[in-house]
Amino acid sequence: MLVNCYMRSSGIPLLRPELIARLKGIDFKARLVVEGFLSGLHRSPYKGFSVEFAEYRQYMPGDELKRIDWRVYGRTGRFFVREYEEETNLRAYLVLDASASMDYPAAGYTKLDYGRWLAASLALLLNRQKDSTGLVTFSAKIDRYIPPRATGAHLRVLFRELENLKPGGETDISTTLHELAERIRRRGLVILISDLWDDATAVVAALRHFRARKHELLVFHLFHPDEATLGFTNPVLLRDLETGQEITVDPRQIQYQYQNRFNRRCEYFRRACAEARVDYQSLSTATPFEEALFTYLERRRRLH
Amino acid sequence: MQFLYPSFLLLLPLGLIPVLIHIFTRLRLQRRGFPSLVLLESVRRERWSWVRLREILLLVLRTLFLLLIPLALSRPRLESRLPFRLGSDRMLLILDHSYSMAYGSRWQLALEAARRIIHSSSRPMLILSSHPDTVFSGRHTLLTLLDTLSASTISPTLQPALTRAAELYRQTPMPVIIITDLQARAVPENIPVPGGQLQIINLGSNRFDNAGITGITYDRRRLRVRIFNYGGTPVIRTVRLKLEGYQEEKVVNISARSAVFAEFSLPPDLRHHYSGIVELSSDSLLVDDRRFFTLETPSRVSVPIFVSSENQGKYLRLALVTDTLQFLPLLLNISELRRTDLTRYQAIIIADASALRPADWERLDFYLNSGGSALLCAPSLTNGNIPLPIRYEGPVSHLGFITPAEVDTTHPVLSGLRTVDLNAVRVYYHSRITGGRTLIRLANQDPLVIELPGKNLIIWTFTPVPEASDLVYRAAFVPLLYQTLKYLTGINRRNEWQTGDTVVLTVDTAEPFRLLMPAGEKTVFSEAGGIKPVVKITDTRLPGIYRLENGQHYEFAVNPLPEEGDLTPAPLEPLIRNRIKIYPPRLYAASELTGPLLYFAGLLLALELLLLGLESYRKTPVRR
Repeated sequence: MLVNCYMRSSGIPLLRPELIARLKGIDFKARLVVEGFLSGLHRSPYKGFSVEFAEYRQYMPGDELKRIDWRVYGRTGRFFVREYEEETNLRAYLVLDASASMDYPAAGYTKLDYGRWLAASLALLLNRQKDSTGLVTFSAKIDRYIPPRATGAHLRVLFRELENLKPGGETDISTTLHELAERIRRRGLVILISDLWDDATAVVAALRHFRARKHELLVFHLFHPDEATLGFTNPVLLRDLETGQEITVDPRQIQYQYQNRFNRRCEYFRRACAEARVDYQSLSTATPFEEALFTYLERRRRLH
Repeated sequence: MQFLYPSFLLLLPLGLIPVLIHIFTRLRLQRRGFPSLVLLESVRRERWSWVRLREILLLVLRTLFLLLIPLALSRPRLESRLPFRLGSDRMLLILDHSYSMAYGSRWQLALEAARRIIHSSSRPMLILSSHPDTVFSGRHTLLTLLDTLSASTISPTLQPALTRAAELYRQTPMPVIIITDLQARAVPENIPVPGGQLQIINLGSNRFDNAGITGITYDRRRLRVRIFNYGGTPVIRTVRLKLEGYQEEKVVNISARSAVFAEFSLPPDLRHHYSGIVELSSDSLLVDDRRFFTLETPSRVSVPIFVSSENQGKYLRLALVTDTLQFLPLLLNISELRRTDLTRYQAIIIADASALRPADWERLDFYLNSGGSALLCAPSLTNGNIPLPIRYEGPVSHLGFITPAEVDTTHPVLSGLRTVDLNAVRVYYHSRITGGRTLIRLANQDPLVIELPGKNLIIWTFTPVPEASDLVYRAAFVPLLYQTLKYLTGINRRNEWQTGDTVVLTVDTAEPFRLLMPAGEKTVFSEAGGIKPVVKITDTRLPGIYRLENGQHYEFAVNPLPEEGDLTPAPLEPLIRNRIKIYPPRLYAASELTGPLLYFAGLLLALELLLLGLESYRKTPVRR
């Protein structure tokens, strides 16, 4: 299975062997309650017989006698039944923005490459945990929807899809996410990897839609340093990668205001996500991917 | 505009650098894709006006700065329209140094103009109108001279300086420039134009206001001050008499271009000697607003009247005794002439010259040569015996009478007398005498009153008796006699001079004298001057009271020429017709622009730094 992880995209390995090795033994747990078919690492809303104790409940006629805790009866003289929290496998959806804006910069690896690596890494991690992993790519609409599965063959399908992914088209994140929220019925983990270049309010509304459907939501906000700093030194003619619109700017004259506005935008996403209990992570593509990934995973592990 | 270092102008295209950079940047714009222009659009929309304004401002500032630097280095000058070029070789400058140039700000303007002309020439020369014989040269010398020079109190005309300029021009042709107020009295009628290259920087104007004291006369303890308003509007002035321990003021109202008299009664205790100042409330020209005077009024002057009959001296004596304060008439027979020491008297009257013997003429001549003076009444004379430069042509009788036709009222003897008073005088007989200066001439052209200036002698060609003329009954008789005697007694004691004059004083002893004058004190020496020694004083450039002391006491006043106060300018048309170029001083008020240009460049730089600094300040995050 791992052999297929070496598939290359744009001349850059999708997953390096070192990364694969480092991902061994790392758990990726859902923070919230998710639904699954198999027993796994994640908490299930359905309580049953499992290893994780949940609570005591007074004995009711019809309960199996073997579930009565006799030690409690010995101390209290009353019948209590033990209840266990059922652990389940996770249904994770990797939602990757493949709009033209992700095809930046022209030289080196793009935001889409970065997102691709991230998606591949998370897919591998989840698959190892026997979690079902699906893939959704979108631009103005959902381009590709691969339902979640937990098999090794499915992982190869995902990798192939990721490798063959071509950027293009305008972004309509909010519409796409609304549509996706309606499509995913069972609550699970939705991992959105995007540069979020859309109307910020609409994007946040779409994220809330997911939360309303009881999904755990994880947002990776990717940006290139140029987007954050407008770090050009000379006047430049900029062309919108999605719309083709062109404007001439002297970055030195508006850099400060642009940076302020970009930071405010990020801050807005951060706050809105925090309010909606959405895990928001902004990632600069200047940060080495592995460093960014493991830093995030470590942070997440601590949260549990 | 002229440039001292025009080669720096070649650097002017440097000013195009910012524009070229701007254009080049626009042409070579880097084209690149960007994920989203949403934020950029909003920022640009918000900052567009300021960014564009700042961009244009910076472009303009930088362009101007780079243009100004080479412009400043080329030392530009806003030069006058004088025909000579900047840095021209020789140039002759004539500076009008008369006191009318002190009016208002004329002198400062003149100095500024002179400095600029001197700066613009490599070999400038300067002539002052007051000292045309001295030619100053050398830029440094001239500038130093101008620093110390002030408007004088003298009144030279431009003619001597122009004559001198013409001489210099003949030696070396060069532009000649006059800085003057073109006062009518100072400009010669046919102004010489050296080489046809005469330029005048005209400081004069038709619009001026100036009144000045033009004269002081004394008569019977009354001081009459004449004030003339040269301006075109009536003025009110305060006239102040200042004597030692005494001061008096009067306010006079003077019409435009007319004169008034202010009269002051002198205090009795000072009646014999008066020395003081009359001042006018100040106006724009101060020099003519005060006038010094010194008066000697001896208590009584004994005047012997030599007569051949008592009737001849009757009217003379009666006239003189009317004012006992001044003259004491002594009636003597003409035969007493030979026994009288005439040198004891300042003046004598000979009522009938026809009675003089040859020896008497000799005595009279000796007396006159010794500094004495005489009034000679000569109804007839005998030719051949008279040692005087006159010619007797015989007696003239009339069937009726004859009256005077011409009266020289400019002469002190006749000043204050009206021509009509004398024109009515009837003369029945007189003698015909020629020679000397005629003061009153009869209708038949015969002189009635003659002056022999070299001899201190006044001759009446008639005898003051009713049979010869009815003058003795006329009101003009007494004033005529008084003024004649006052003139004769004071004729050697001229007590008023003009600034710049060489004062010649007859003194009694040939000894050194201490001269006290406004400029200081110094010792002067007398020199031989005929019968009596004389003292010559040349340093009379400052108005004031001059006093010569050495046991004896001589005092005189020095005043500027009153006419210089008339600031009426000469008509310009004849000058322009004479191809003389005339420039107003304000047009000449130009200067080197290097300083202002550098200042402006610095200002631009500061403005640019301010713009950039403002931007940095806006970018600096506020620390909370």
